[in-house]
Amino acid sequence: MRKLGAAAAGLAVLLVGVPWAIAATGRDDLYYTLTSVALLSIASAGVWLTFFIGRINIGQGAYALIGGYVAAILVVDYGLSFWLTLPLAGLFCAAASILIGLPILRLRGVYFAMVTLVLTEVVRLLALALPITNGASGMVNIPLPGAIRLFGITIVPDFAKLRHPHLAFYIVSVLLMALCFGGLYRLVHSRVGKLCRSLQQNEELASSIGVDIAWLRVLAYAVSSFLGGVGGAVFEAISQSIYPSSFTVTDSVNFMLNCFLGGLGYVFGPMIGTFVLYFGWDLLFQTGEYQLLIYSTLLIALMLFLPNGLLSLLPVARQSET
Amino acid sequence: MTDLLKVSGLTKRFGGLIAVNDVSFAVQEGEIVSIIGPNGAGKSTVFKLVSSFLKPSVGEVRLRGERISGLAPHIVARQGVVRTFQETTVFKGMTVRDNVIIAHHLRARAGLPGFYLGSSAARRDEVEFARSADEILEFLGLG
Repeated sequence: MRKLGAAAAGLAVLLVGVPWAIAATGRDDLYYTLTSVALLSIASAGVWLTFFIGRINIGQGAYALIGGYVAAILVVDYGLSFWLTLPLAGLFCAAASILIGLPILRLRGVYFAMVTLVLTEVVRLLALALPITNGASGMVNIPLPGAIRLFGITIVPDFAKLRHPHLAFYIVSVLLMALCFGGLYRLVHSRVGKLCRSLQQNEELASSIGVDIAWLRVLAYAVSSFLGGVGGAVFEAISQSIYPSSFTVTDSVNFMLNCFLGGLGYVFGPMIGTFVLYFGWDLLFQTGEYQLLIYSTLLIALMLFLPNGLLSLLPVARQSET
Repeated sequence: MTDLLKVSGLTKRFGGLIAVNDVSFAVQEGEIVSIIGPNGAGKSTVFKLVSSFLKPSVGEVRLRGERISGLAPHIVARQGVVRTFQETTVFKGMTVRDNVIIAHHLRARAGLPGFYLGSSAARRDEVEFARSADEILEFLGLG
């Protein structure tokens, strides 16, 4: 009950407090930044889940790109509603990840990491080469999400007719993020989470107590890729465009860094990590040419002195680890 | 009387090395059988083959007449052939109690979706595992 209260309070701050503060200060540009953080943290949560079963995933950019393209193609070429393409993009990514994951999840450590690293590049090249993705010029002028009506009542208004589509996207992204982290929290704290952790620590021992390790691995990877696809699909809807370079290897690496920075041992690590990394990079913009140098030095220092992530600084978090 | 476990013509080659060469034996119900031999004789490999962690190059393992070699290890474990490890092998990142609780997985009646959503079968399993784990730890003086 206390946890539910804390979650409700957090949501209230994000959905009421933040828009109020933005309206008061007139910093409308923050909507785009915060929406990005929410969406990137969803994709990072997926990476975190693969870490949780003991795999280093540097390929989430691939699924974000696939998700973005699937949603774009379904909206533009098939005229589906964006709201329908959102879960479809996630499911498509999950299906693709099952096919890819079945062979590559047998690899461990650096070998798995290397294959996933290549994956992002493969998807980028595919997007350049396939006729349906329109090559390097990408897909542009994708219509904004339409309305959702049920029995004649408008539940979600048409985004194109809104005066503040930024605010609408912000609310959608925060709700999706809440859903994602709520689901992840439940997973980690249920027996499924314990089984995932057993996988992370010793796959042979896990299979000797009757855990279907191959299935659990693929399942976790599919959920992870689903989240990547959903994140990519909303991104595409906001920018109303998608290019082969929308998600690159750099993004894949960043998704992983977000998890490291927030803390691999904490469900909310990827959320905090994404927030700090995104805003940290923006704040360092003032330093001009030294931006990358300072940023990298800080990251190295953080990993050296805080190997368990930023959340390990909180005494409360330590008690209720993960 | 049929054999509970029957190992016939078991052979395992790793490249050019023959680790296990034509091993056959049978175990009756209630019987305790041990395998002895010097270092490098292939005892561990035999156990890995019986518990299906390795696939035999030649030969097969049958449990109650059913062939189990070639099946995934977790399926063989669910049928009752469970191995232990040579060196103490535990999940180091978990508490002792969590280790004992998770080792009850073979008795789980609920599936993964059930455990995720907290179905009544899953909740019964959890209560049962926790009680049984406490009993075991109490018995061992670790409670």
